[in-house]
Amino acid sequence: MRKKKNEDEQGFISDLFSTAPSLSCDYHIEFNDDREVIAEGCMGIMSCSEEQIKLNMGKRALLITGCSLVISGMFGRTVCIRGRIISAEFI
Amino acid sequence: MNLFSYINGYCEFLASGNFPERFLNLAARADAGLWDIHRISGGISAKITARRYRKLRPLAKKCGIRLRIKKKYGLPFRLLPYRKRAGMPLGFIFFCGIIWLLSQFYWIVETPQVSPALQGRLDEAIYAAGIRPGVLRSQIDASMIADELQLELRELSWAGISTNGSYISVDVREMERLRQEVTSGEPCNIVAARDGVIISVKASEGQSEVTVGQAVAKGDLLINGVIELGSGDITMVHSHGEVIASTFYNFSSEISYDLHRTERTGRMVTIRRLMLLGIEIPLYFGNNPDGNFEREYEEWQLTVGETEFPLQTRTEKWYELRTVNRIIDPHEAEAIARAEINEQMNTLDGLEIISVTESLRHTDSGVQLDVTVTVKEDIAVKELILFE
Repeated sequence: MRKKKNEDEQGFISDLFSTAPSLSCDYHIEFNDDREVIAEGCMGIMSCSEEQIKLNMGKRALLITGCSLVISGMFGRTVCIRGRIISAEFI
Repeated sequence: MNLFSYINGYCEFLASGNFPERFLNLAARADAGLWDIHRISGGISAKITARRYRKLRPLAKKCGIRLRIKKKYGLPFRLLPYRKRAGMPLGFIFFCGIIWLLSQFYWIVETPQVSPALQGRLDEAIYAAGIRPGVLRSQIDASMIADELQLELRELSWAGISTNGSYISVDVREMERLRQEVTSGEPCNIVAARDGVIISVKASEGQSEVTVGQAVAKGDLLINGVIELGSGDITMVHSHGEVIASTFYNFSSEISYDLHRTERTGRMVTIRRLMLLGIEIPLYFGNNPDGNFEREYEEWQLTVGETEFPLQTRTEKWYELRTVNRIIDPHEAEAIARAEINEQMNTLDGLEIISVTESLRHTDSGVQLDVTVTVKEDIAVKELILFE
């Protein structure tokens, strides 16, 4: 009985922490309207063209589709893409 | 492009090859700081600050990418053609030095306008205190000079000096006599403005204190504004009235038989000067004329809007004078004396002249004419009754 009570308490505590939002993330992506996207935590550029830009975000790849796409800035692991963005997919 | 990029200089380059993305990733890891990256046929185009471009070469070699500079922007590239011209930076430094040096002086001095009797002394005092165009700013202690002006010129009630860059302004206030102006309704007396003998008194308000034929001195009470009533009470009124008296004016003129007079010969010399930054530059050849000359001058100062600049031109006209010595006879001396007396008597315009008494004396050296004029005038003047 006592052992079961302890197990229930531990399960409650672990559930409590598992429902809390994760404070550490591998990347952060921010959209400003459909004109600009800033991706932090980018591991590299996989492909680059005016219609599509594919970014290596570590676990996943991010495909930005649009027109007149330009990498307006690339500093360390932060990439800023400007242009007319039609869609963003995680591949 | 922003100001920082322009000052440091940046270039746009083309990276052509098979895998430009790899080149971009290596550049990002090397903190190259690329921007404005876009795809072109055969490669990519990007921008980078001029100093970091060299970092890209080993990375390009590693990726098999060929780099080519498309265009250079910024101040370093603009100044590059002038690198062998030492005169330009030297000239710029010299220019900044001159501006700094000139800003250490006061170039524009504004002096106040006061009464004619005080103006000359005030201008001299300001000049003696060191305030003039071209004076070093560190030599001027505004508060001390203001105190000195007040101490030196007793006619001033206040003096102040304000500075703004290379502009210095002197401002003063003259002392004014407190005038006790009598407004209608205020209790006042009527007193004598001059010595005289009373001819008539008309007191419309107040009590007359003088009679016809009485001699009065300046300041004597003529019409009293303090009236004692029959009941013993005292009331104060605004005195009003007219007091006509005969008064005396004395005029005198002494003319010597040996008459000295200066007159222009007709010869004139024009001299022009340029005053620039406090320095006087003569615009003529030769020296100032020698001899007895009378000088008139005109000044013109460069002014743009309301701002005066330290550039003036002065045109001086020198008229030659000669002294004429002449011995005149007594008749002519007497005529000159009478003419002077008549000019002095112009101050009596508007007054009724009762009599004129003259005394003419001929001495060995000249003629003396004394004239006493008796006039009839209203000597009533209002004086406020002051309460303690």
